[in-house]
Amino acid sequence: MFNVFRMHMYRVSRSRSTYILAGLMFVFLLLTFGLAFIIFDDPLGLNVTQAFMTANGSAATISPAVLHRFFIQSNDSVIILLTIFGVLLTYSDFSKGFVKNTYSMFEHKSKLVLAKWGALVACVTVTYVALSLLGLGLGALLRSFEPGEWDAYLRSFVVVYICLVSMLTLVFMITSLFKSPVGGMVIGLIIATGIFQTLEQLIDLLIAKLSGADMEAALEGMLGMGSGEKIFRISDYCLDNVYLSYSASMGNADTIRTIVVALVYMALALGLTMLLSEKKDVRC
Amino acid sequence: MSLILTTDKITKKFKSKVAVNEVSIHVERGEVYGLIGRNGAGKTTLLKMLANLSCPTSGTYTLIGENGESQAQMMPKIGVLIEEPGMFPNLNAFQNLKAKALAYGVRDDKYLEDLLNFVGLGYVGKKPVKNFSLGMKQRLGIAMALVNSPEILLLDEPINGLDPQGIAEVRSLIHRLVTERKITIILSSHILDELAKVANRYGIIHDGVLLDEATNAQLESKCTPKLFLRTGDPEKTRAILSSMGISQYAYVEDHFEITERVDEGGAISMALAKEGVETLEMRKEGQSLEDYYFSLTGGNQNV
Repeated sequence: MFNVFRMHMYRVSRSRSTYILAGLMFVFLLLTFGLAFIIFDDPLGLNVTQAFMTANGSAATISPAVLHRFFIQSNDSVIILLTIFGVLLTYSDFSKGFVKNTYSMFEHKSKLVLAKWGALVACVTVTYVALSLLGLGLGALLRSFEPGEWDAYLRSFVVVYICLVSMLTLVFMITSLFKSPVGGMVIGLIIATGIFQTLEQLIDLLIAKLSGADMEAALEGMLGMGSGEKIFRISDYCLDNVYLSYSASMGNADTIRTIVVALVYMALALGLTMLLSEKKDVRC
Repeated sequence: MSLILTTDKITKKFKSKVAVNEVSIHVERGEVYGLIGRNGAGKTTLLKMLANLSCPTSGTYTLIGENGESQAQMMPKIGVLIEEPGMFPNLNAFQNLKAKALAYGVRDDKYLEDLLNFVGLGYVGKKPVKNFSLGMKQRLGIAMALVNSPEILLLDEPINGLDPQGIAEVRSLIHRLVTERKITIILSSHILDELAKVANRYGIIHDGVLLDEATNAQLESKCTPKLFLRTGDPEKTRAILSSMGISQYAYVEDHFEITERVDEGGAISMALAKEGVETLEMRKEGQSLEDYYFSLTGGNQNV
């Protein structure tokens, strides 16, 4: 199985699209840095820093955790480019018929699925670490950057990583099972743009209304303003919402919930892909 | 020879269509097994099931290792070239070969270069596979199927779409694989003449059903041209045939099957008439593999 993992890493390293996507990520990161410079250091006197800081619950300086959110977590281009990469890695050996070369290797195809997923996770890990370090390095150039609160940064680094891997596992599942790049791309776009987040929050309000909960508390909770009353919210268990709404300033319970939700999605998506691939014919 | 692969009533259904229906084939080690059938007969589906690319609806297949290896141990010893070879078009021949080699844990670049030379692609250098001719792709496909030093090679229509030179190259490659590397090959084709040049055992498949399985020698006897002759007086006929110097014949049920001078039907008929023996039926039978195939399938479409 490790040999199949090596094979995937080899073909990814020889693929032109890998380097194009890496280049695009770098460009987008530079553009994000430009935006961060305008927002935080305010060379144009736009005075948007205060509004941004308030929205992110931060002080007048930017901590590494806020930088991480700005450069990685809330950066649509990172999610979209990682999704494209995930789809390409998952789909290319189906589209080119290369799977015919490897599917006769094992009695159980799930081993091949696991090896390919391993390659995807390895690539995402390398990219994530590189982007995070680069983001941190660029962010350190900002005047308003204030090093510190590294525990919050580390927590944010781990949680966002788990969520990203979980989302890409969903993309992997859809692409593997439908043998089509479209479904995976759509999932990536839905998560990046947060289209479903609004729908999930509307369902939350409906549930609150039907269960006779305090609507004011429900609205506060929905807007992330923090409410004393704990009510059931479906969006708390939707991967796109937990990813987009995660913040390093969240309490331990919410952080653990975010991690558990992401891990459950990841395990379900991977398990389902392995299970269904076992009995699925290879179309190529 | 010992068996390397057997299938036991292997069946594949796609909704209501039965693509392969309870097929049981027996492949012996070191032979070239030719799967004959027209397009859509079920050859590719059968090979896909053997290559683990498709799951049988029912039935099983068994791979038998020379040293008693189990099915699971034998799986990596299958080489596969089903339909078009699967490769990455932007990579060159060596890189495609290397990708597959890594999956099988083969790290020896020299071995891969030797393989490319073996299939006659040692000269292609860094040319991307997308610029290869069909024949070159097919040869690279065979090289990729050989990467894991397979004991059994499944080749599905390997000469489809090739020009005469390409066909000759692939044929010669198959001969070399059997003689030099002692690989068992299952080869499907609907081009019977070409199959007859390389195979030494055949499975004739039609509408998903295996109609016959025969070795070259058995097929030869079935396909040997013979003269079917039924006369009013068998005793006199024997004497006439002997007087004409014809000794290679057999009397089966109510007729003679003559396997000598089969083109001299007219002369035999005249000699019989001269002696007052009535010829009730006379016809030439079993001329070629193609004729035999048609006699089994009851048609001549598509092959």
